[in-house]
Formats: sequence, structure tokens, C-alpha cells
Amino acid sequence: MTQATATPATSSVAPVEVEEPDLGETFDLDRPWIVLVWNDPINLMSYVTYVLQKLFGFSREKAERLMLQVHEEGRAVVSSGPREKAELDVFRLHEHGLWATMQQD
Amino acid sequence: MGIIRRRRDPNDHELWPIRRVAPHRYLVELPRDLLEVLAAAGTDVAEGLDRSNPAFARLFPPASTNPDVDESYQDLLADELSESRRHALLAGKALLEHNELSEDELTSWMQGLNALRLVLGTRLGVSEDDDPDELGDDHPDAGAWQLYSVLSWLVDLCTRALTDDLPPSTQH
Repeated sequence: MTQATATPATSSVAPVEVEEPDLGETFDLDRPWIVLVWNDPINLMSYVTYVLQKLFGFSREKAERLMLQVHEEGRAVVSSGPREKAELDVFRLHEHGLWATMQQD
Repeated sequence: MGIIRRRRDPNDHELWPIRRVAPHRYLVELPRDLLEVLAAAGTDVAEGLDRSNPAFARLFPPASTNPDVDESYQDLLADELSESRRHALLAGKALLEHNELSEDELTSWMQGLNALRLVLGTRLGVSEDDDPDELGDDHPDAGAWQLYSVLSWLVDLCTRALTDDLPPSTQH
């Protein structure tokens, strides 16, 4: 086991310098992000429809319309918004096994 | 995408082996040996889960065509996705103990079955034109295709059972 080292109560109160993270490419904060679902030969049409209804609150008709767009055109936009929302939407789609990506609109 | 050809009477809900018996409660009535095969397959994949293995590529798709965006997403959520996958793949074990499931349990099991379909479908090189019914019993992959068909059928039944408990739609 390691022993905890006590930190002096009178530690420095000087501002800490924070190194700016390298975000690589810069993104326009005002432009929304879109989430795309891509066609794949494995996921069932009924399953994709159900997942779109469940995750985004779509009516059955709208979910089927988007599912068919994915099937026939290869992809469809299923949500849009700030980057954090797009990341969460992609994660939930991935969790259900759908092939989803995000990009800035 | 794949499609299920339903052989049973779609209105005969009481005969479905996976069905909703009360709000957010579901009954799974499948042969014990099938449940054991599915639980063992889920455990095998869960224990061998490795993001760098191409066999599991469909379980960990890229989040963006932009490498920077994908890297940021993976840093943030890759571990959580792996854990969620493991949990779903192991969900079949619960069915060896009891056959009435909560919505969360059925959802996890369905996600695990679908993950098995993705792994098996990748191995078989499934395309939208494939029809497992056309394969003869002497085909070298006949057993794997049979399991793939069973998984498809079960995932479809799960979605049907769960659809009745979807909240009212908010987007039309």
C-alpha cells in the first residue's frame, strides 16, 4: 500500500497556469453538429426503426421514413445540435449497434 | 439493412416466445438449451472483447470521418462503450435464472444479441442479398448462418415487445 502524503494547509494561492489544450482543427462554435446513421447490411430494418423511435422520440412514421432513407440513400441525418449533444447521440446509437457518425454542418 | 420474413401470424401475440406481459415487464419462453448457447456465446465475446481486433470492428465504429473529432470522442466515451457492450453481452445469463425481465434487462439482452449478430455477420461477410434459407445443410457455415437467423428472429421479437412501452412520440 502507498501512504498518503499530507499537503501543507498553507499551499500557494497564486493563480495556476493552465496550458491550452491542443484541439487540432478549430471548429466554429456557432455551427451546429449533425449526427448521421449509415446503412449497413446487418442491422434489421425493424430494429433500426425501434432505436430511432426510442432515442429521439420520433413517431413510428418518421422513424420508418428515416430508416428507409438510410436503407435507400445510404445515410440519414437523425439529430443536430451542440457538439456535446451530438457526442451523446452517437454514443447511444453505438450502444445499440448502429453505425453513426457526427460532423459539423 | 436486413429484413425479417415473419412466418407466424403477426396478430397472435400470445404465441410469441418474447412478449410483453405487463407495462415494462416481459416474458421470455425459449428452450433452455438455446438460452445456454446464447449466454455462452455472449460470455465468449465479452471475455475476448478487444477494440483492436478487426473481428469486433462493428462493435466500435468510428464516431466521425474527421480523425480529430473521432479521437476526442474515443478519449471521452470509448471505455464507457466497452463497459456497456460487456454488460449487454453478459445479460443473457439472467435468463438462466428467471424468465421474466424488466425493460432494462430486456433492452440489455437485445443489445447483446444484436452485438452477437454484428460480430457473426462480420465474420460471415453478410450482404443485403444473402438469404440463409438458400444455403444447404452441408454448407460449411450452415451452423453459423442458422445462429445468425435465430439471433435476427430474437432481436425482431425484442423490438416488438419493447415497442409497446415506448413513450409517446415528441417528433413527427
